[in-house]
Amino acid sequence: MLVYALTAGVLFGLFYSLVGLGLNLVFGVLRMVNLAHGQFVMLGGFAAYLAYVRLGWHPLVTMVVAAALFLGIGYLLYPLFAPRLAASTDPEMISLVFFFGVAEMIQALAVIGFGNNQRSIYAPVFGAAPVRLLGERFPAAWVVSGGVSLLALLAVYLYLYRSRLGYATRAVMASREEALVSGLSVGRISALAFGIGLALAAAGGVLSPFLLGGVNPGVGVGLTMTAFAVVVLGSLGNPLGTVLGGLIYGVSLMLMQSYLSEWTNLLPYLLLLVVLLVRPSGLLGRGVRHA
Amino acid sequence: MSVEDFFRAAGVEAGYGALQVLWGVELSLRQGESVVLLGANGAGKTTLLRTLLGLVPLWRGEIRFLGRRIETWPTETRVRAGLAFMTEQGVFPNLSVEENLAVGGFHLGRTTARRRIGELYEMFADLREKRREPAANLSGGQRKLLAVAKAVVARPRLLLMDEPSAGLAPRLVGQVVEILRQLHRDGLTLFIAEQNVKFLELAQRTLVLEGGRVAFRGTVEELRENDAARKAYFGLEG
Repeated sequence: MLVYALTAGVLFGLFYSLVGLGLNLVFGVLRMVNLAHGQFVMLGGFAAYLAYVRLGWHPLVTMVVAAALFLGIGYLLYPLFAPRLAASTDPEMISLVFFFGVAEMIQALAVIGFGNNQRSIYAPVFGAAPVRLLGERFPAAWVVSGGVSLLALLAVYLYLYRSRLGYATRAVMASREEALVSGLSVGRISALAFGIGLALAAAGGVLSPFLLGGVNPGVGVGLTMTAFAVVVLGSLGNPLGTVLGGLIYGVSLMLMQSYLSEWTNLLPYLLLLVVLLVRPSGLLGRGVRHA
Repeated sequence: MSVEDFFRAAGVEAGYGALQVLWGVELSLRQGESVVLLGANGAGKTTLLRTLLGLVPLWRGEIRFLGRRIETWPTETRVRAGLAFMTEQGVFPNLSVEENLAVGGFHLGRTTARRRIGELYEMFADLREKRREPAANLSGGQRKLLAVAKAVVARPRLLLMDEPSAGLAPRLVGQVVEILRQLHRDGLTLFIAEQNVKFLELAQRTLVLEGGRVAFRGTVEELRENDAARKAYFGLEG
């Protein structure tokens, strides 16, 4: 049972890392907490459901399309709201309220568009046979979701740490002013980071019906909270910390579900409180912002 | 473009919120010059540099660079036009030495930037050895040299510097001065806000700011002979 819980925890942890990474990237570059992040994940879930039911698309195809679409939407939306928020007297607080409003709006629109019911994809799109890992049997959807999340995380890592645009993104995360005087187009880089954040939310969202059992308009709130816990656990502004935070969360979640299942819903809040009280800068935080 | 058109700021007024810091500052730099800006703490040196870069909004006045008015340009456009700025921090501590230089040369394109970084490693041998190290792990002197190298990757025409001696041990100040002397010999125009007298070695002209106004302009020799300017420079009587 322990091996099962640990292995499943890693698979779920990779998924939560993917969801948290988008939130952290946006926070690191924009200095704004996207409280609507979970709602964008929820939209990815509905995209997977509708594309499969209406168009017969495989979820991995939907994932690529949804990520590209959300990347473009994020890039185009950024200049419409971010400069106004940044020019306010208290950008971090104002942006919190702004994204809270966006979250509520997306959720309300989702209810209007899709109804309140839970939507699930029952067909074994990733294969009917369980997959054996470390002697234990897991649903194929979990293993594929974990593997795809890992690939997406690797892609983000290569972008941030092996490409010039990634260096520029991390430079903006470290200091917007220093980035400006280095000649970087901070606005465009921030727009791209916001787009990537939404693309990661959408990609995670497409996987969510397979890991969470389904999708409904209300799941966004809990997903934002979980993503926030994952990010704070690793360290705000540190993308690598988010991966660690996601894995710790995933393993803790599975251990709780295996041994103390009635306490499972408390986990994100519990982790958040413990980290904030014991190590407010996160497990990989060193008192400064990393990137 | 005449020699005088290289860089000129006229009637510069700027500040923060309702607080006016600069009062009609006039500044003119000729190509290839090295000018040191002096002044006591709070005289407005950093505000002047940040205003010239567009980091502090210009209230009144105009700024010309290479014959064009640039005061409405965003900061990154000014930098890409050849106006570099080395801040007190000067580097991204989370990025490696090489990544810092790549960011400094971001708008050059990959191939040109790589060639230029190779050239800079010839001048800054210490940095080549530490190319994979995060800037945060460098010593104070190495970090300052990296800041200089990062500021000149894109071959700027004019380098503005804010207190390059800040946080440096005296022996390292000499090292930074030598590097700047070499860059100046290679044709880079320098405008350095400093309080460390060692940098006067680089100065062909000096400006002294006092209360946000230019209180003195002249050579180092003229500065030494001028009691009022010395007072403004050191912020002390006598």
